[in-house]
Amino acid sequence: MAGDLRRRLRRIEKAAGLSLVLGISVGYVVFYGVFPSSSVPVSGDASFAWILCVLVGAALVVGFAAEDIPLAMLSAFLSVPVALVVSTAMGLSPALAGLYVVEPSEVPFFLLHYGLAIFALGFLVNVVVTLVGCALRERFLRRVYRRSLSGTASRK
Amino acid sequence: MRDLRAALRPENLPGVFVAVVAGFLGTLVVASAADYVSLAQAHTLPSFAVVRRIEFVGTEGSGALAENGSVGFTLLLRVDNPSRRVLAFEQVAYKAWIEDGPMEAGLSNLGRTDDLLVNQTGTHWFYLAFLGSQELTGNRIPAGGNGSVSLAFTLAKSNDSVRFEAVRNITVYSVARGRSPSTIPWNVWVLVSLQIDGVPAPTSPTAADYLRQTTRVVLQEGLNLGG
Repeated sequence: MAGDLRRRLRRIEKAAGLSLVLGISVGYVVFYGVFPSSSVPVSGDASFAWILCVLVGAALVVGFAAEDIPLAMLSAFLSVPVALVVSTAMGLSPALAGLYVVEPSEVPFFLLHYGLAIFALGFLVNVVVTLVGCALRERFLRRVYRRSLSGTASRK
Repeated sequence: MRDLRAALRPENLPGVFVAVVAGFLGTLVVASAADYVSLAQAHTLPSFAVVRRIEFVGTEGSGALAENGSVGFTLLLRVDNPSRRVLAFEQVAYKAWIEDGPMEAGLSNLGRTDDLLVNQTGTHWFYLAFLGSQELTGNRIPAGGNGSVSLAFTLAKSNDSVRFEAVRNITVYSVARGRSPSTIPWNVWVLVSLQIDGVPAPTSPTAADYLRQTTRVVLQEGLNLGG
């Protein structure tokens, strides 16, 4: 009973950690897409290739780290509010430094207005690519397991 | 060493990858937020001061502007930049109005159009004597420093006879009322745009307006009577 609860808690903890990584990646690309001239890397226009690279890279690694598909999906869904919080916090960073360029209450709506397409793309990539990451994990671990089995057999 | 080897065991690799990606993303987020804060500082912190001098050159014995005289208008623009970004003067737009005594006295057939200013002291008519804009290149304002630009303009019969005659008429009227032309009130409005260093302008024709506006700071002083 206690072991089951502990396993569940560890799973929730892992989902929270993975959704944090996915949320940070989406939050960052939303901010970068809305303010490309005040982001790192700085550019006049947002680069779609860079946005895709960040999203796919993060989702692939999260999928690879997720133990199974339900955990990967849970992380992808939980990443949505995290992304909103991250991009809003980035948009509010001047206010945190005591500068008010725009009304703080307008920042989330401004980011949603101009970054909605990137939010949607981020969610889609998170769902699809984490599944690909899960599949890669299966292959990788199977190969490692097979190698370790053959190593044990040859030693015998 | 043993810890590193244990961390790099195949079953731990996914966790290591996640930690590396999280660190990379965290760095991007912090660096972007810092960049955005510095841009916001460049938009909100600089202050702008204008020192202006207007003088009548070539006057008649009474003090009124002579027909072969001129009006000299000099502007000293000083920008204090406490932000972390380097700024560069880009463009200046200016307008200078002289209070039109004859118009306020209700004289007819003046043949000119004035701008109205209503304030606590009453209703005033101002004639637009100087206006224009000019590109400013090469003057940089360092981060945490200041920069200034001096501009000089001349109004004479040879370069704008209509405006010159109007100003001359106003000085003649002022002298006739026993007031020195140098005491006639002026209203000066100056707008200066400053380019923020390291903020590339969008190249896409469909880029949102706010992206074009973030590349420069626009500061102004005075009242623009013409709207």
